Amino acid sequence: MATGRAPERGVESIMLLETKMLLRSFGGIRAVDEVSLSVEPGELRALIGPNGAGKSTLFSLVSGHLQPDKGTISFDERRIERMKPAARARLGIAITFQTVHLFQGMTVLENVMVGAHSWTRHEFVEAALRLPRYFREEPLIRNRALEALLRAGLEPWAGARAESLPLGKQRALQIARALCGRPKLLLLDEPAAGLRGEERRVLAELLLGLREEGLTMVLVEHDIGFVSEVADWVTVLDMGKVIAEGTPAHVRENEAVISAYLGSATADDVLGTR
Amino acid sequence: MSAFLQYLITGIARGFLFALLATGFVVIHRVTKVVNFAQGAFAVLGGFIAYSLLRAGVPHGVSEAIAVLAAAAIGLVFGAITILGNMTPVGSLITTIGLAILSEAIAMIAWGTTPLTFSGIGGPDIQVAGVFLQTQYLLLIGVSLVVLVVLWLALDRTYVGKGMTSCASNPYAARLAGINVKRMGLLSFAIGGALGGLGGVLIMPLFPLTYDGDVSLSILGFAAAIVGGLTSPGLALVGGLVFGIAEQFVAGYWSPANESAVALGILLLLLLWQARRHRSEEIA
Repeated sequence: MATGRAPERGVESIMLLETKMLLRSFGGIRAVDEVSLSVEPGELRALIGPNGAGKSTLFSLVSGHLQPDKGTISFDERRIERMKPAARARLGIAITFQTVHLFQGMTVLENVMVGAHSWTRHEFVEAALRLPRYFREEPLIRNRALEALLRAGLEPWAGARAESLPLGKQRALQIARALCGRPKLLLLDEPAAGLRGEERRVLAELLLGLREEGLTMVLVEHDIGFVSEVADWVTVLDMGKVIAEGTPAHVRENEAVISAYLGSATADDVLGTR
Repeated sequence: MSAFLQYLITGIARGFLFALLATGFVVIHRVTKVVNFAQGAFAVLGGFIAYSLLRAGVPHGVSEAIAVLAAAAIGLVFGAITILGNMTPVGSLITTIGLAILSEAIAMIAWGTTPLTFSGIGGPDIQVAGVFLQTQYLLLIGVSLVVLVVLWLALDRTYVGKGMTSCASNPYAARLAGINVKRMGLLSFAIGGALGGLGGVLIMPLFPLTYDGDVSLSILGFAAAIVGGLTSPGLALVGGLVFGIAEQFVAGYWSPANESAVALGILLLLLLWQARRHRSEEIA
């Protein structure tokens, strides 16, 4: 299928994330079916496709929560497909979930601080005995967490219990936690789901701001309107395969994409093609 | 009056022993969600190892330190057996009971069935308000207090402590934040082992231990930990002191035979109270 990239894209540049012939099946059904995908540094890529297209499975394969049956994943010129999730996080892969995953009973700031584990070095014994590395790192972690909170617009809630926040803020909290880990690649699983107008606009601004700063992001999203606002490049999955790739405008015109989404009669509503 | 003071002080000393064990329960539970009923075995094995080292001529201080480290290593092994197999929490709990029985058997074969004790650090007894006290009591209370406060601060007030707690709260998200959840779990078991071992070496000069003494220690440690809902080190200390003092007063004024009955009675009430609280939280 159309997995080759368009000629105008930087063929020469080194990819930050590259999957080759990635395959993962569940009981005979190929959830991700030989997917080859390349993400350039600094790119904001969107992955779209109908329910069950394999988007979330692909994310889990990249984050390390699932192992591929076949195929390879390279990140930052390293093969990572056999690495554990924590090891991948330490390489600079961060993820935010569709279902919000928080550390209950902790404050918003503490939740974000936990995200720093991907780069901190000091261990429990050093913290308990207050050894020098603890004193060096703890303020750095706190500052980085406060910065991330500010970025996500959550500063006023720093001391609140994480689970007490409304959904939109919980999603922002996940992004702040990911940012606290100083990622090179941020995977966002439906960050706009369930968000209303204003919250959605704030999220789009945050993502565009992060892209300005050169952060590479891959976004799974149902809402094509949102994708068009933020993404540079769109990959469309259906039945575990890549069926189209291109700019948001290009993909919206694509016949295969339109038929994958509920058939052409209602595609205008779904895809927002006007 | 002096009898009262005597019971109170021995009660406080016993209370710190229970608090050390309770904190072991809390640390392990906070990181892995496992209720580790082999907690008392760490104390028995740690105490017995110190006993053997002292008899072999290893000086005080060194013997106890090695015994605590050995208990931490035993904790690590128990942790590996309990959490590396991805069992359910109930499966892990049963595993820890099995490990406790196994360590009783090992202790019985290696050290026999008679109660063991060794002399604590020397020094003259101290007279407080008409009561003579072995310095070992002060050592037990002092060392435990320092260790418990250091651990409590580390768990509740530092970044790494938050990271450890996050493992039980949401292991999935913790892994993605770059935390090696299994490694944290093993660390918590090592800490639990060290806490148990420390309790064992500190209490043995005052109260001899037998190979099967781990069961009552585990139960009392668990009961003390329940006071803080298995998550709060501060409340575990309070719980430990309540049980320690209650135990000594029941034994002193009533009969030593009623000690465990009273302790189990209080434990039952605590469990009922916790269950009610959980239910009302769920409803609210």
